[in-house]
Amino acid sequence: MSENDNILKQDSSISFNQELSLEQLFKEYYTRLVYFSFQLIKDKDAAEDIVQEAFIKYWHGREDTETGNQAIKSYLYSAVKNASLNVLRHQKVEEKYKDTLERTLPGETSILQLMIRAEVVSELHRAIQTLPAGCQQISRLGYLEGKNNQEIAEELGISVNTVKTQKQRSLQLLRLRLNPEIFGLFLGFLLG
Amino acid sequence: MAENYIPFLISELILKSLSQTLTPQEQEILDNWLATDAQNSELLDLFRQEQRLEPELTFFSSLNTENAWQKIAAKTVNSAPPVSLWQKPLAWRFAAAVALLMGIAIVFALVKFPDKAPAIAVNKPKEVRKEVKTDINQVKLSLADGTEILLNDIADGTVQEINGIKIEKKDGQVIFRVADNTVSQPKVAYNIITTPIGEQYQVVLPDGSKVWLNSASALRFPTAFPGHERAVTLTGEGYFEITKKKDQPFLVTASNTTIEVLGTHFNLMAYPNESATKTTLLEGSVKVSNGKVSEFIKPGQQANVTDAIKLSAVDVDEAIAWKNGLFHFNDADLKTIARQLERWYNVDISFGDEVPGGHFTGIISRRTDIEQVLKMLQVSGNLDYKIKERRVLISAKKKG
Repeated sequence: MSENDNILKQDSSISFNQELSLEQLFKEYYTRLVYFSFQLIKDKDAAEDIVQEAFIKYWHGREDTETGNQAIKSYLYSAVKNASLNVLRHQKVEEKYKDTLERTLPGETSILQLMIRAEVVSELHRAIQTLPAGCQQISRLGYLEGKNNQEIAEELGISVNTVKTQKQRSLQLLRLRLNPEIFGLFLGFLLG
Repeated sequence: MAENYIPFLISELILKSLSQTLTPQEQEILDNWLATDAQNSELLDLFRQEQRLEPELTFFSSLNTENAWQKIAAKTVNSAPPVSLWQKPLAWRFAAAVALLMGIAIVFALVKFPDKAPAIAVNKPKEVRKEVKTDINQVKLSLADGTEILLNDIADGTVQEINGIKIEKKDGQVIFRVADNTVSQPKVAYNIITTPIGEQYQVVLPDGSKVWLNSASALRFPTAFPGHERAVTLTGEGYFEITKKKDQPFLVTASNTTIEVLGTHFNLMAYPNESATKTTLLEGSVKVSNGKVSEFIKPGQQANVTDAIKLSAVDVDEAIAWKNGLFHFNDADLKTIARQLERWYNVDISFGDEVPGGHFTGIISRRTDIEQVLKMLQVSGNLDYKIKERRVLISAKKKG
């Protein structure tokens, strides 16, 4: 590849510079933070409460919080982490985990891994959600429910070849959509 | 990079690795991370097996973000009035005092207490911009006396002042604030602000009206508005938020169209290479005329001005998507998309023997690099593309 072929490619490893409103922040980060907390405390309702509290706390203290979306995200994660660990400590005190006394609070490394897991799964979830309806259905049946092409074709009443091409297209679209820089996408292609 | 951001960086690299878009340097960072802990590789493997991810994806789908937001909104943004009622008058009182003290009519509050605009005007690919800047396209301010000032590399967070125009750069956004010189310069002179390809600026006029200028556009405006009307000229595209003044209508002239308003929000697109001038109204009421006929348009309507004026109902979000840092295509053909891409990425797009057919619908961040946008078109439509320097050739997909 010559140098010229590359001229329009840029490194896109930067996050949005745009300052998001509280609503945008909430809609962007809510599910991943709940999932993050849920991984620690295994209680979905409590996890939702913790995350909602974290947003309220952020809102009231926002004048003293660093600006920038990365910084805010980092603040929210750390608020959710602390609240979740408190719940765990409390559970220990209550000796709910008598039979797992050796159980210790998760260390820093595993917390980082849980954060990464929340970040990546949330992007994957978003990517699948934005696939065109047809691709999404085939993706779900194929990858998530483990059905083969023949079974999918029968279920949807389409040819096996269509399933194959749609799968191919889904994969390509999924790859493109995984780029975190892209948040809205081509929803469909209408033959004109 | 702060240590807190490491998980975000790693997540981004993992996503790139899944979509096979890692650069060798990024691969190295990811490999180093994988080497630090055996569990890290296990984590990466998990993401590669979509079946094992099903419970987590179901978990995400089971959450109702909208409901949760309603609860939070009631405790945060919607419970804010006591705070803002107290803050605003104070800010304005302060501004009024300052204005009085200085004896000038600039709305100082705009400088000191910038509106938290719901959408920020500029949201663009930095690298593309840099690329463009070294090119023919420069930020240009042409003053009334004919001098041209090229404003390169304005450092972020700084303010420069030239002939009563404050040029401010904050968070990558450039704002020109024009002081009202009615008193000091009774004779009105005209300035021109030109935006290069790939840039968007905001201009605050002497009467407080705001204009967001899209890429490759120019706005000619006076140093003051002493007369019976406020008149400016636009080339390209701009979004206008006009301050209401009952006795002083605001006039915008753009190629074949004149728009007359008292106070309102509208978008005006008048690029020379587009077949019609399009005015889209968001709020209020405007009169559009082409010298022969004129029409009043209502919010949500768009006036298409050629020799005649055609009104139609449109999606206003689509018309002002550029201001929010987005491309928004609604059943758009390739030629329409190509013109928008040319104006933002500074490329020339040409088509092979035939223009591939089909219409596209979707929203893309303007920060997306052009290759990625072309790839999406390629995957969605039946086309191929080639990039050479600043030229893009799009052709129909070969059969077989």
